[in-house]
Amino acid sequence: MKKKQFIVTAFSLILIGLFLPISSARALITEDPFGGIVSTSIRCTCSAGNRWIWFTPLYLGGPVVIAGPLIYSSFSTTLYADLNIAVSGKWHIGDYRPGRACWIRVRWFCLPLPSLGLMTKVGTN
Amino acid sequence: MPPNVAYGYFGPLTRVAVARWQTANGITPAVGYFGPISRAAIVTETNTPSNLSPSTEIDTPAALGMRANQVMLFRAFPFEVRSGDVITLDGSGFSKTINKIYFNDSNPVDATSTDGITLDVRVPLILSEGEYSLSVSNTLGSSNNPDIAIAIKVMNNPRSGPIIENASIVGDTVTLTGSGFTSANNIITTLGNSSGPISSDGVTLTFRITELSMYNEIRRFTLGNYKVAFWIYVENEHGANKEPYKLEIMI
Repeated sequence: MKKKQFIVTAFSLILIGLFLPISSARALITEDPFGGIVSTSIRCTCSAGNRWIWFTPLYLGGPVVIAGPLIYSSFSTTLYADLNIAVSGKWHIGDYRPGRACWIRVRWFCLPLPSLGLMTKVGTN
Repeated sequence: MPPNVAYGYFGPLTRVAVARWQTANGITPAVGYFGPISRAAIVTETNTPSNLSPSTEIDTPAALGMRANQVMLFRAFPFEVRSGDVITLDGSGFSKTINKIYFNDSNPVDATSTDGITLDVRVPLILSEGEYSLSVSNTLGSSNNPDIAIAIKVMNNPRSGPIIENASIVGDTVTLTGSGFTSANNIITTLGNSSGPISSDGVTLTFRITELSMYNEIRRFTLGNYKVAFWIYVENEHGANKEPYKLEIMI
């Protein structure tokens, strides 16, 4: 009897999970969360106002903790307290959108400096 | 607290207001909490164009993280071309209706952009051999920037820029195979640049990641424990690879 109850409960939970309305909402949102500690940063020499910031560690919500760069833009990233953007050793947490946003000067052109994406909002300690 | 004042707290007044909005938008149950159903409704609402207001489509869309009211030019690809060839410009704030592209401040060519960040332009046939500085002008102004000169080289026998076909890493040594490498190549990566030009036999190129400009600064924090997306450009007198070659490494 208990086994039957367990199977019914587990099956119900799976069904509820499948039809939760959050699934349709998430499909429309293209931002992902991130969090990490700043190691170092450089100025994006072609796209003035943007900064390339390296995080160690960098948490992106997946099973593996990585290290890597994200971009802060003074034009489009919403900055929250304590406003210590790109300060080495400070925790940063926020959302980012994958894409290229830091261009650096190389002879006759600018190259998009590799990064994981652009921070859309960020708060720091 | 009086109503209609934005205190930034979610109290009973806010809950009543949210419930009223939920009722008006057919969300049930209208309990006054903003959950996934309300979020989905507001996302749908903001993505649905209104029939009552005029079109708000922007003629000059900005690239990710760039100023919205400025036309910017980052790169022309390829670097070496014949007159009459089509080049692709990367930038921001390009118009969907009219842009003028200048070659050394003259010989304007009209072009339109579909996305605001790329422009396909045919190099005028009248251009003779030589290096030309490019600029884009539209309703936002001109991309001219004294610190950043974006150029192409018009020639009868243009050479392809570097192309990376494969990359491998053994210890701290990276070996690239491909084409278009010359006797003086610069490496630009996620871990910084090479300290000076690196020579190649034309098809293989070898460099050490420990000699890249930011390696020590980053390694000081990572201590060999982290997986990193290592992206590589090679740049020389004929141009640079358009897209970075990507490797996953531990540093």
